[in-house]
Amino acid sequence: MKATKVFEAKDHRWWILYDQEESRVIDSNVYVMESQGQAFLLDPGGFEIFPQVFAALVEAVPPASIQGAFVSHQDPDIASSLPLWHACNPKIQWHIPALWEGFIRHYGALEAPLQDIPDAGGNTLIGGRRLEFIPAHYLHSSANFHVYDPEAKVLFTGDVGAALLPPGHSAWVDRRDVDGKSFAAHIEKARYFHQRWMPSNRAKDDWIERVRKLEIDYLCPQHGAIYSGPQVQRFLDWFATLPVGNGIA
Amino acid sequence: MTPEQLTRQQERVMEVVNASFRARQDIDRALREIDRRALNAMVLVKKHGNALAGYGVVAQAFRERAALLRESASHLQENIAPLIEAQMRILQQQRLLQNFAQVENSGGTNLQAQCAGLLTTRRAWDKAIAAEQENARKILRQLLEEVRILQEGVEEQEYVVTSGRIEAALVEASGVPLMRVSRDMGEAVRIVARAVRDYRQQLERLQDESY
Amino acid sequence: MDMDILQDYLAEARELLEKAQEEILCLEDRPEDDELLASLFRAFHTLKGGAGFLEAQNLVDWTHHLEDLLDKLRSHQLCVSSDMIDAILRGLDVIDGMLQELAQGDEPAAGPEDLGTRIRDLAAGVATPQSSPPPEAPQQVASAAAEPTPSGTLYAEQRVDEQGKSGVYVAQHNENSDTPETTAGDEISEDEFEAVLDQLYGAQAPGMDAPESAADEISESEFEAALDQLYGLGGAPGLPAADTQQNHPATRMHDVPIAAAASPAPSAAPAATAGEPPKPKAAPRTVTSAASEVENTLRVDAARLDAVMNQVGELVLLRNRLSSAISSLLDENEDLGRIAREMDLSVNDLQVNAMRLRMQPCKRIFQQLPRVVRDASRQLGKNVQLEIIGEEVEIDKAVVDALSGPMTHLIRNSLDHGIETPEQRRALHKPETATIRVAAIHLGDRVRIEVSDDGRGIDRQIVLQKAIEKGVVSSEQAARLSEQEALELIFRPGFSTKEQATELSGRGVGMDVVKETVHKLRGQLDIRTNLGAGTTISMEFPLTLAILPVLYLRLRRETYALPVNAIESLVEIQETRIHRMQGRSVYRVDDGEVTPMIDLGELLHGRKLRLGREPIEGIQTERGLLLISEVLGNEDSVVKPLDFLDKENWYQGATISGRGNVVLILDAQALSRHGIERMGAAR
Repeated sequence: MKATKVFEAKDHRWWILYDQEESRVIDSNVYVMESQGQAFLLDPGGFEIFPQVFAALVEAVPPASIQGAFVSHQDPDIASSLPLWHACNPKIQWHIPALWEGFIRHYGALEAPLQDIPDAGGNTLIGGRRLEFIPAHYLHSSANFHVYDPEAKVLFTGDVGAALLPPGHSAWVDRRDVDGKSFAAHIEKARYFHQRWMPSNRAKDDWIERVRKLEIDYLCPQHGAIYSGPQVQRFLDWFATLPVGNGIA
Repeated sequence: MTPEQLTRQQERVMEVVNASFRARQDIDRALREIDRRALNAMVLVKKHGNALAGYGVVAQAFRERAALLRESASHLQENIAPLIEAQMRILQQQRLLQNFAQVENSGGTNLQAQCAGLLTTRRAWDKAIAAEQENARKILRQLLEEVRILQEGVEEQEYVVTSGRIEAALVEASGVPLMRVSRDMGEAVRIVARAVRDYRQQLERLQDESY
Repeated sequence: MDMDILQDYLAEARELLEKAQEEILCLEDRPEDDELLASLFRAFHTLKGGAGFLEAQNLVDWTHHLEDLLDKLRSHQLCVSSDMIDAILRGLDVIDGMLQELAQGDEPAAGPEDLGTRIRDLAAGVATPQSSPPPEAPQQVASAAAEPTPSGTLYAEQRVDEQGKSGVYVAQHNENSDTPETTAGDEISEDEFEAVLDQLYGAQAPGMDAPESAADEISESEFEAALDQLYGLGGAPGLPAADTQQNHPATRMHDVPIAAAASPAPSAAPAATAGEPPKPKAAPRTVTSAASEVENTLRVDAARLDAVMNQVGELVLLRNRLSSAISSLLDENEDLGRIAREMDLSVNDLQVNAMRLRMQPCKRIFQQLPRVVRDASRQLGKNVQLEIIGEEVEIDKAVVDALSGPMTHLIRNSLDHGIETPEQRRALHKPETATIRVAAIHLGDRVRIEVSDDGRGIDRQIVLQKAIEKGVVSSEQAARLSEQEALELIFRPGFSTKEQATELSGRGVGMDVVKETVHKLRGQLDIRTNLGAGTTISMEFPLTLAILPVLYLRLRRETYALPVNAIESLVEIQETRIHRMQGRSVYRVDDGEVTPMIDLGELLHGRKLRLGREPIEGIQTERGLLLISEVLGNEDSVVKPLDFLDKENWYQGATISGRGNVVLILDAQALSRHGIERMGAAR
């Protein structure tokens, strides 16, 4: 896996660890937010890819600097590495949806310090900077959160925006895409994922309404590539018109 | 391995990982600093025409050495990630093994009879860990070799700095602050030397203790 | 008219003229200096001879008057007066005009009647009452000829004509040059010449009774005949001696075909005197003292020299590219590396030597200045002493060629605006005689040329007022300028603190032209003034314009080059050192001083570099700290001019990098100037 900077302003940085080598499990992105020497992990990934995620992380931040981590929902590709991270750094505070606490401990983290996020959301401070946990329930998990960094204008969206990309993919959806052609090509790799995994049109509309009020420079999904600049708007527009929950059609 | 040993080893690995990060940052920064110092010296020399040509040769050598150092430092980086990954795979396997230990403890003596496959698997995992550890040792040896090459490069660089001091003393009358430039170069090289030395000690400790 | 002969004559004549002017000014201080008088006389004589050959009758007539006057002075029939010096100087100007006409292919018009009459009157002793000096026997006029010069030194100087056709002389000075075997075919040494004269005249010294003086004095006709003989025969030093053994010089003389005198062989010696009919007059015998200075001189067309320089430039670029290409192969082949390094050194030497071919002494810039000072100070009624330092310092031919106009302007400006009248100076307890100092100083690979005076200095407030009045800056902008920046407004086009009132400053060359010229020559212009104590304007030029050491730098994705001489140091940018002062961003450097910051991202890309979000490094220049993305490395580059850009831009040319890419060369001075203005204006 590789580490690359998403955002940087002085001592405030966002990193993406992406393009994993193991293809038997779903390709996942792990994000790291860094502020004044303190780091925060977002969706640290599955048990199987932990060694490579960890090795790539050391490209970005020293592991000892990790203060906290966030788990958007209970899925194994998100949270099953939790016990290993805990073994490496038992001081990490885990922010998880309250609804999933008893489930997540099943991954083998009976001792890990878990901080429950209530359904309404919440926030935390990392290196003097505030991160907001934005409710995104039913997108796709029934208790699900996204994370917003108002200063960096980064929105971590978990499975929303996810696309299934082949190995060697870029961290970004084409950043010089003037006419939206690249976006159109990219979003085809996201369409089925959204239609099948996202269960609720109402939840989707509710989310879009709230998210449109945020200033977003980078929309960062847990699978696929980052939407930046005009691609953010393109994605929201596309998602708004997409019917989801097609598993029961 | 007892859980305590396991934790102890885990801590040691994390120390190395964090040291790697620091070493890489320090070395990068110091090498960049060396490069800038060298360029600065070359600019100074160029500004003064042929009078300082001798120092120009030194500055050029200094910069070339700095480039070589950066290259060997990057080889070093290339090997840090695999080492960390190997260590983390060991951690992963041991984690599974720990679960087994629990099963074994609770299952008592009957376990073998009840579930022969479990033991076979356990043995396979033991073997995997041993292989992984061997692999990590190999990477560690290689890493130490890279560090040694880097140290040699630093020593050569120190030699160039000394030549620079001599040259600077020879042309001191020119009024160009080459002595200061030489001192700055020397300082930048010392930072690299220290970072590399510390890192080497860290790696050696890991090598001595865990295997 | 044979153009080759004309060009030869023009180059020669100009040189004679320059030298004559210098000598006349010396004459003012040393009116009794026989050597000077003799040399001046020879100059007019040679000028006349050549003009005769070219059938430029008006020039012949004009120089004849002057020659006549000088002849009288030389023989001490008349005494030097400052009236005479004025007249002669003005006479020289007339000759200069006539030469220009000749250069344009015109027949020179007759000289001004009144001045002609004046010179004739002076020669006749009418205008100046004779104080009849005791008729003194002329001394041996020139001692052993030219000053000894270090042997084996290469010496190049350029001789230009009005059409811009210029030649550069490259001379090899040799201390042992008096032996006939070592002299060049075209030239003769003094000793040879004496030997010839001796052989010509031997014991039959015409009109002289004492044998010693026989050697000193010969009649002009004899002298000219000797010259004709010498040069007419193709200049082989051995030949004339053989011929003159006939002991019938006069008849032999006429046998010499005139055309032969104008043999196309390039020669720095007066080649055209053959056309002059012999006249009985006395002449000094050491005519060749000037000629011996150009021994071993090769006259090379400047265009050829430029071609060589260009090729060397191309070679340097190719060398850079080769080095860059080879560096990636070095691991595989050590021999290749060694060869590359040797080639590197070899090309460097070639570069240095080729560069030296273009070097000329600053004397060529300075020699006109005494005249300028003399004329202007008399006109303005100011007492000024001119001090010239470093005439021998050598600098690129292009600088020498381009700088005489600006230098004249600077001197005039200083005289006109800077220096007070003697009364004012007295009142200020300053010495009545002001000093203007012109100096050329060698500084490593640069030469600084300074013009300083001890006059009243420049009042920045007045400069500012004037600049606002003239619309050069707005009063808002003016308020933000530092003292130095205010002072530098005088270099702006459209600025002049005096209403072009005087004849002196109204010559079409302004301070902006000075700046422009210096800029074109890749020089740096600086001005320092001290109210009441004087002003110094200094111009720093690279020794050579052919090779430019540059630093390559990256600004986002683009690579630029910055001349190394503009750089003080490379700086790691630390945010804590950035401050705001009077609406400007400044940076605190190591010694605690602050310097303006100039963001090249903003200036060249219209987008500021964002500290902390992208890599930023600093380059400290004399005028400010340039912010860039990254410093890449340095190289000796060759400048290619840019001619498609607006006048106002921040590039001074382009070069080709070792990787074969065209890279723009930034102009640090323009950058800091525009940068500071722009940053100031943006707030």
